[in-house]
Amino acid sequence: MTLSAPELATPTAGAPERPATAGPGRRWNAQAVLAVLPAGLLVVVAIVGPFVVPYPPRDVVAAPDLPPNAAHWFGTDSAGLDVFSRTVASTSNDLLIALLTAAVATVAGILIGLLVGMNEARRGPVGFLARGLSRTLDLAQAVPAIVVGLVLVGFFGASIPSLVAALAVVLTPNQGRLVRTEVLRVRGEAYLDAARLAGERPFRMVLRHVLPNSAWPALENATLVFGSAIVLTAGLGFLGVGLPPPTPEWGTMIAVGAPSAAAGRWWAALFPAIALAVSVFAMSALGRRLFRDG
Amino acid sequence: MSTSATVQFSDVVRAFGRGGHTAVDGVSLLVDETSRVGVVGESGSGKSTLVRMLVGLDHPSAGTVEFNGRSIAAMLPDELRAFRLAVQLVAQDTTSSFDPRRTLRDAVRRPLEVLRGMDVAAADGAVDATLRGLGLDPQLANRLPHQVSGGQRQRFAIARALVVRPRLLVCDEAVSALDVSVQGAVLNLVKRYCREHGAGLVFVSHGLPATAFVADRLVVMHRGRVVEDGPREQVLFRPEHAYTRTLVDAHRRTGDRRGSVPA
Repeated sequence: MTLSAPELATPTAGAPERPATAGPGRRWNAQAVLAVLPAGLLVVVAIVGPFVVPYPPRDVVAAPDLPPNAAHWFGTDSAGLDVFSRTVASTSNDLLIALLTAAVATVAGILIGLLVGMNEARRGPVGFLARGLSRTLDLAQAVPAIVVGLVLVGFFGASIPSLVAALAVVLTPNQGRLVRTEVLRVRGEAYLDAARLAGERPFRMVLRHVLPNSAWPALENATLVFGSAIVLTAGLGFLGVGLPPPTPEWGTMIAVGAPSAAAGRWWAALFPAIALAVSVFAMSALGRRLFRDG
Repeated sequence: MSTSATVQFSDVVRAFGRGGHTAVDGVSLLVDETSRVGVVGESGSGKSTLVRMLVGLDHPSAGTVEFNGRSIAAMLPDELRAFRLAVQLVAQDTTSSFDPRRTLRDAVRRPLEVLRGMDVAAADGAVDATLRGLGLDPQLANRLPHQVSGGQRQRFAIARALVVRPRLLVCDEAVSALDVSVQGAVLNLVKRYCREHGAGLVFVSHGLPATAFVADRLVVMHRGRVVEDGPREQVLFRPEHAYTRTLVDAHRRTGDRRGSVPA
């Protein structure tokens, strides 16, 4: 078949318009560096920090409740532990918990969202189970996260794996609901019909078309999950079910320092609180840069 | 390409939901590789539902749709593969009929990989040949769907359907979103493919001029039913059903100057 149709439009020239959900293609400027730098510094502190801190973070190194001074930049807490060394050393624990939680919650959320979104309109037991899972996701959203976390950590004990598991249980439903909503949208797209006409099997169709087009919001949200995990870890630590002292962790440090702060010795609680706030800000700035401003 | 491709609708009903809307109501129709059928009717008359059942994307609530004597709904994987090779669709909305994250080449190549079992290199060769035949630069295929114009995207949609050399081509409002000059070019591509490859055509549109341009038989749908089915001249100039007369008159009054199709 040799056809020509010169009246049809010629190729579009110049830079093409990108879809709203497209990923890379952003320019680097001062604003971008400012968004990425805090998160980068945080990661460096998490990796290098425990090896370069001036005092062992788990040991009593000086008299209790020393205010910030030349030897102890952030002072000491009520047990005589160095607050600066512990604040820095906490970074690796808190970031590790948050990173693992964000990864587990995002992967689990994507799988659950795909499963529910692809099957909840079906008849029979599979559809029934998918609809049940969907309602469970809705219900899980109604229960305060900290309460669920408290129960799970109380049941399984406080350790990094159990904290990650508890936080993932708390944070997965939102990821799952985000993906489910996107799957429901993608299911109506004509390119899935085109894939069926091309002979694509259902599983391959999900892998090639549904997954890439519906997982994006969960990936965007992963940085917020990361921040939430840091805050929840600290919250559990503050409530006494976080990593047990003397393991350095910001929430536990704030809990230990809170009574001293009430008595005017503010430094033991303030510095880990600032570190907590900065890390949440850094990760949300990174997420905004990676997924929204591009 | 000597195998036949016959799709037979027998008293087909398609209703949505329990006691809900009946989109197609008792339609019987036969199309094959010799057919040049135009299906016309207003929006909501059941044309698109008919098309979805014709290409096996949907199945009847009652009655049967058979391909070469075998119910499409009951086909085994190998039978379904043969059906997909024989019957292909050019969809209504080319913007959403391409995955925004995959190149046009991937979309056009995929039917060859899956249905014909070709490897990527061989499939790419066939894709390039098809694209050149449609007046498209193969380099364009390496772009994403939003990076080409609407007319080009429409031709890629046609390429995706034609790349497996179907015996029956189904076009669902394939030119409705295009301007008149582009419509003419696309309609010519479709007509020429059918003529050169001895393929049948089912052309579905609410626009009578475009349909009459490519079809020699017209099927008129109204409220889910086929109210008229006959040779083009008979339907256009001696319509029997009141709805057909209304449709033809409406196009004579308003459509001919606006929507006439260049030969």
